[in-house]
Amino acid sequence: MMKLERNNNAACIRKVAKSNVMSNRLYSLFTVLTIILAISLTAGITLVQQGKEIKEQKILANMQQVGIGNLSKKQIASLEKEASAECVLPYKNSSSFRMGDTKIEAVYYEPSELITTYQLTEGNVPTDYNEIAVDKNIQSALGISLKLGDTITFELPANKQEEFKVVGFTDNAETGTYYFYVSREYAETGSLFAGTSFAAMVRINNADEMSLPDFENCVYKLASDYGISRSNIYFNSRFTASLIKGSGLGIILLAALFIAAASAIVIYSIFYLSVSNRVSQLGQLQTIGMTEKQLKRMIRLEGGYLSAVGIPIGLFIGVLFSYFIEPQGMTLLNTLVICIAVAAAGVIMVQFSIRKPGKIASRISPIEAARYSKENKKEHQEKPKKHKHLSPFILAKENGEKDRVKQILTISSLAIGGLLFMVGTTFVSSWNPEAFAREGNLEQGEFYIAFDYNTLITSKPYGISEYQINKPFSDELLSEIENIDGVTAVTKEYRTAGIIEYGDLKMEIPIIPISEENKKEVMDTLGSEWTYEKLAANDAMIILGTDAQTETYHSCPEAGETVTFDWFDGMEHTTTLPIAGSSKWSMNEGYYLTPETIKKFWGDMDVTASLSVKTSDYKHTGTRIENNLIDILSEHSELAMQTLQETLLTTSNIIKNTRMQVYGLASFVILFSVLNLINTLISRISTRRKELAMLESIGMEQKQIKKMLFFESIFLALPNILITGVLGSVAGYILVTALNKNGLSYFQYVFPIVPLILYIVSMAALPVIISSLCLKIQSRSSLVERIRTL
Amino acid sequence: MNILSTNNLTKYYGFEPLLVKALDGITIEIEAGSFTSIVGTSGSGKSTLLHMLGGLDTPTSGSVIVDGQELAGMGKNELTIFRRRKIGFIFQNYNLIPNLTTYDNIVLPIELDGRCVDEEYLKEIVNVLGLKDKLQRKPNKLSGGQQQRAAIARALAAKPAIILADEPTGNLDSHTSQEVIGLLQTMAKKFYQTIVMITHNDEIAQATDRTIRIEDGKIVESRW
Amino acid sequence: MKIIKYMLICLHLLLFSCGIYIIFTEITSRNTKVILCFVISLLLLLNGGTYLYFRKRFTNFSDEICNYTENILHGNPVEKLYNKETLTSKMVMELEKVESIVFSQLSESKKEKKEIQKMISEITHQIKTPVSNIKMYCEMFDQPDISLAEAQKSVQIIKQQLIKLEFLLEALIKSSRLEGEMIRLEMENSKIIETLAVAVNNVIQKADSKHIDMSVECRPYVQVRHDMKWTAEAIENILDNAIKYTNENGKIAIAVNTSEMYTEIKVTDTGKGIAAAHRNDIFKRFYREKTAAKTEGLGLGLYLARQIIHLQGGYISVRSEEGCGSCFSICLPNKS
Repeated sequence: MMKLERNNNAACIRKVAKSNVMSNRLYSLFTVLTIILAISLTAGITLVQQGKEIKEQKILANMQQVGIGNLSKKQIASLEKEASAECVLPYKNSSSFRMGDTKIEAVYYEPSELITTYQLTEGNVPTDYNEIAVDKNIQSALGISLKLGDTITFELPANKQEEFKVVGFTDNAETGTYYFYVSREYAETGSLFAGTSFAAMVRINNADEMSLPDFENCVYKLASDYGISRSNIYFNSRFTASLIKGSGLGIILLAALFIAAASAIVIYSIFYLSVSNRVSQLGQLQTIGMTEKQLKRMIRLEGGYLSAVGIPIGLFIGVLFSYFIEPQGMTLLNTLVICIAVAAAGVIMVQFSIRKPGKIASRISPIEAARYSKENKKEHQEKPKKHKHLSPFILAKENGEKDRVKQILTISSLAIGGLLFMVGTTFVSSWNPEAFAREGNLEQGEFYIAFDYNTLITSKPYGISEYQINKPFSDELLSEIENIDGVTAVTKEYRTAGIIEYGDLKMEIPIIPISEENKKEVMDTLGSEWTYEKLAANDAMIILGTDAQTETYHSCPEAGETVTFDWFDGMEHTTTLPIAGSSKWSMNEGYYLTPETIKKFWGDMDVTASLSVKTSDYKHTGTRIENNLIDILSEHSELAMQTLQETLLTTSNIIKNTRMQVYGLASFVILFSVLNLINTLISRISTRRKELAMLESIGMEQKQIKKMLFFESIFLALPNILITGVLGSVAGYILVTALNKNGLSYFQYVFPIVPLILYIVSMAALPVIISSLCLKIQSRSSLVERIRTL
Repeated sequence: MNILSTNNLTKYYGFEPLLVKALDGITIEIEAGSFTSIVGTSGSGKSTLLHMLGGLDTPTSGSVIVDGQELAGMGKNELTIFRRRKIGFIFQNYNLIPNLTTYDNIVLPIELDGRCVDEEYLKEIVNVLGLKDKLQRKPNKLSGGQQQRAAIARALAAKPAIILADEPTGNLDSHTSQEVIGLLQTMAKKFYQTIVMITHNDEIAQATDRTIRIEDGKIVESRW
Repeated sequence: MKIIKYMLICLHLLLFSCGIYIIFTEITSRNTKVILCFVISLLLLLNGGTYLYFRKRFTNFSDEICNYTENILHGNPVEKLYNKETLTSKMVMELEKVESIVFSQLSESKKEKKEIQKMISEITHQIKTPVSNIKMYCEMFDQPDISLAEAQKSVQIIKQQLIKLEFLLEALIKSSRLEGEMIRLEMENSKIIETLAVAVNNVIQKADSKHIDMSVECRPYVQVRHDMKWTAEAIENILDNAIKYTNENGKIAIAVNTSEMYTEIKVTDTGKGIAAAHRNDIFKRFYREKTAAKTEGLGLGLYLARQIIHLQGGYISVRSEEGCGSCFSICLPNKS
């Protein structure tokens, strides 16, 4: 290629290739469309994904990476001097209190430039003792109207009242709790913060360049250096997730590969069709003197010119698309790099798909130009066939058999799209929103009453056990709830908490009593030497789901080891106990003790951790019961309720979003195959212009011709519909069953009958519509003209 | 000196009992600079012979020697380049490239070889053939006769040593046919070109230096 | 091309001066300066080397072509370069084509020269006999005792020989005029039958003397665009030939047919025919059949006839069987 002596005849090839591209409007258009589709999709997805990551980085740059609770002023002071800490921001949360229905909490954040805490929409940061900045949405919740300088009176628990002066407003997102921000003075001495200790939001130097294990080790080292217990370390999960690099990229690559494959098939078949329709032209060129190399070059140049048009447009659309979805995530450098990468990939993909057609083109022998034959029949022994009565149906069948390859290509690309569609719709329609919502806490009832998560944020070292000693789930509470009209059952969940000292770790862990429900799973982990009695006698503990525990705490005791166990029943106690058995993975993770052991340790303490309230007719009585429950719980500020209704809202949203994404993806893939189908149909009919005119001239009615084309379309559409319907249903069923087996019981197989019918109708109608359109356009020119054209 | 010669050329299609003998032992020698016509009934093998002479088709047996080079020994690419530089084809069905202009079609063989177009000579041919103001049109905008004349111009433009024509005047009226034959003869004498032409028109065949008649794949007559 | 050359030179100078600037003024470490120096000199060397390399390739190419041209002039084919997709192959094949065209023109020219030589020798031969006869009979007049009858006979013979010489001169003049294209043909749409009449009249005597039967079959209204005088002469030459080579009591038939493109004048005789090998030769200048060496004629008749018909855009072809006869076909184009 690079020989100095090479003949200088390249300009001619460029000219012919350009002319080919301009004149074969149909093929050029479809190819360019496919390229635009593929490039815009790939560029769009990549840019959006990268944009999301960049946006996340931007946000994380102003967030804490780890929170440390229960710090003394001295600890904070020494932490602030720590070299590896980029920033240590002390803050305090008060306990929340209710005014009417509104839950309010006070927070103190020391102002910082490195970490964004709250943002004032108006006014200033509070400095004096009773100055506050308040969430402006509290006005509608409390039914009051405030402006800067006004005083607001909060009714604190124990019938106390406190007045504050509003010096600033914020606009917080709705979370169920309304926050107001106090000055440092108040945080240190104010009544709301009595008994609460400081916590700190910490950023570590160069943390974003560390790997996840390195980061965690750094923090743990810090903790041990400053005598901070690990249970007071709260990693920012968003930040830790961002340290796990590469997962997003992997999905993008997969999607890009898929898109590339789909568009490659389409472009391949377009060029294949184009080449086989140009047999005589290509043979002529060889006769006149175009060598194989020149022919291949010509085809490649055709692909190149089409790419040169399609890729920039596709990139433009992709960039536009990502700009609308994730404008903050776009940087110039990033966009440029991605555009270049996608463009290069696009060029490679196009050249790869047209390689084979190019080869086929160069193999055409010049004699075919001289003989001017339109159909490349393979040489095979013609068996004398019985004379068949001709009808539009038979003609259609013969026509289909003539071009097996094109037929199969089109059907397979359609089938891929259809399969994906079926699997996707099955997935989406089988996803039961209610079952999904009930997953977790709401399995046994439509209402779940447990300890307020906000309460637990300022965690007590012994977790919920410190609250359980006050027996919040009193008998009165229970009977009150049971007496609500419509409540059929109230189920208790038993669980408490304790601390395990393992190695140099101190972990707060949930303690679950062994009951009939979990007995089998627990006992299965034990070796032969353990019996239930022995467990009780030795106060042995069984751990289910050590993998999950290891993930959270980075180590977990194993069966056969002994640990030190601390618990609180009003007073602190400690003992050692053996780990009798453990399992790596469980749906019911936790640390299990026999009820006997629990009674031994906590005595009569009520170890109820939550209540599930089941109703008989949730649809009609739900709202009323909910209001009743809210009334009842207003006395219990440490408890919070989760209802099916609110969970349903969130889960429905999730399902809706996923549904859109799935349909979106499926429709793009179907779009590719539909493009291919349209291309095949149109080119078929346009190349048979002369033949169809011939049929018309010997007396075939338009109606009969239409019938013949209809049957041909059926031969294309029917296999696709069958494959999609049968294989797709089977695949969908398998998917749902697999999901179920893996524990996602909220997938219940529903046959997506409506989408399937829509698909069948459109896939059957499309060829028919296109065929009749083409015929109509053709019949505009006179019969003689059509027969004469070569 | 002989520029084209074949030795016992045969071309068979198919197998017994459906064997088709398109050419059945043709041995001819054509002198350089001569104007030879090949006549015969349809299906007699004339076109097949012409294809063999141009290296478009390979014989079942026998040899074809063109300008001292044995065609059988050449690879596909070599044959293509050989054709490009040595042979001008005029086909029965004009075979112009439909998406190129007439001008581009005419100069295609020259440009494929990266050579320069002899504009003066081209102007001369185009004028004689009456295509002067049709050069920028595409073939589908030309009448049948004009297309054929464009094909003839293409064969002449590169000044190839050999011109192989298959019914070049088939679609032309008698007056134009005469002009075309006259043009071929003049140009051929000027550039020492050899012309082999298939025709069914006896009068035209008379105007050539030599007539070869083929029937059933064999030579039956060879008249000067 | 010139712009590119200047651009390249400018770029080179720019880079070079940048390099020098950095080396001598910018404060960078010594190592960097050394490396930069090294890189710059390497680049200069490479550039120079590349230029020299391509210059050498270029001159080699030109030498190769000169070499091949020599080969071609000597007639040695450069086979190894045939049919390749390279510049050299293209050039060589073009050169060979030009060589064969020039060579053919040269050989034509040589052939013609030979012909002229032959012609001159034939003419001298032709002239010799009459001249020597005239000389002889003139000398006879000098004899004092010559009888009146003898003197009259001598005068007759001298007259005859002079006629022969005249005939020869005329034919030579005609042929040279036709050759030099000094003849202007006056083409007119006129009745072919009249032209035929002229030709036939000029030869009827000779035919009658050999008892050859001449017949003309021509529809009187047939018109063709032609020069009557010259066409008549051409037909006359053909008829002459026909008569010459047909024995006593033979037949010569003239028939006129019109077809789509041409009007054909067919002259069929029952003469001795022409051997297949000579069928093309008969139209050549000074060609005379061996057995006809004794008879009159120069061998120019058919040649002239063909010239005349060609100049009018027509052609003459002949079909013949030895011993049976020949059929000359004169075709004149039907111009619309």
